[in-house]
Amino acid sequence: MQARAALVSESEQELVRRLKLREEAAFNELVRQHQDRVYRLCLRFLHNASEAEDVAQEVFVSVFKAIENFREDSQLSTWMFRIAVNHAKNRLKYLARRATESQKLLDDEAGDATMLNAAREDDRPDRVVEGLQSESLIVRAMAMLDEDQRELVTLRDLENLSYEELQEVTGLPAGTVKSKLHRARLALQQHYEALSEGHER
Amino acid sequence: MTSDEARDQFSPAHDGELSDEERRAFDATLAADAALSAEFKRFVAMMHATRQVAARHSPAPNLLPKVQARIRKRSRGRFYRDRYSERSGLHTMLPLLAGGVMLLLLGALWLMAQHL
Repeated sequence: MQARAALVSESEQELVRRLKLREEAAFNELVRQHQDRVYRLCLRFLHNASEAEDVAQEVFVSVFKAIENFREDSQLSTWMFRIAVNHAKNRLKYLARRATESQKLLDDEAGDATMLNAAREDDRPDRVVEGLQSESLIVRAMAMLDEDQRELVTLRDLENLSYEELQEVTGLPAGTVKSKLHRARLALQQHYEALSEGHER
Repeated sequence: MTSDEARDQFSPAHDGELSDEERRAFDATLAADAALSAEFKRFVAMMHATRQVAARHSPAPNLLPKVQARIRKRSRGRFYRDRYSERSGLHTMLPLLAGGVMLLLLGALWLMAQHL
């Protein structure tokens, strides 16, 4: 019970209790609280705004349907992230089956780095351009990782999940998470540097 | 510490997860190997660029109405059947309830006036 209390705050326990009673107002609250992170995670995996929106909606529908199965041995957000990752990966497989052109995805991803937000106004223009180029290369390099590596880098380095949350979401033991993440980062660095060299030529 | 062992410590070193002793050994290995040191600097620069990507994101569209519509449809109207709950629950219905009570009161007053 103490472990559970440490993982799940009182307000979250109350929210979960209301969700399990199928209170619509509680579910509205949940969607409002988490829609940004869930959508962003889907967008990171899918690199397409309309696909990300569709999958994010499905995530919340799944949460609504499956809330009774939430055992409260992790944070609600972590449990939702696991559902979101599974949905996003399944959608990727579906899109791959539909033979979505990989080059188009890469083009969209490159566009995302600039689309994702405007640069701060006080940045120097040359640094802004340099920064956006680096970000674009990172996004391209991430697309070159294998699926498991991309998942780990996305969750840890883009979504800032803790190692404990990574274990919960991936179902991998702590040591495996750390070693796989490190290998994923080294692979990302290789791709990033190869792309940077190509970019400078 | 060999170069390969130090390379395995890039992530823990970047994440600040090395103990003082491990960090000293790591730094000493880098100090003795300029190529490895440059490699670590590039690793840190790449992680910095990754953080920049993480910091930039577009806000989510309002997902709630469409999520509610999906739940309403799939539950065949069992949930979110009234459109007031779509927005924020019972308190948005309070003006309607108050209006209903007022109408009832006016009706009761009118009936009383008819009987007097």
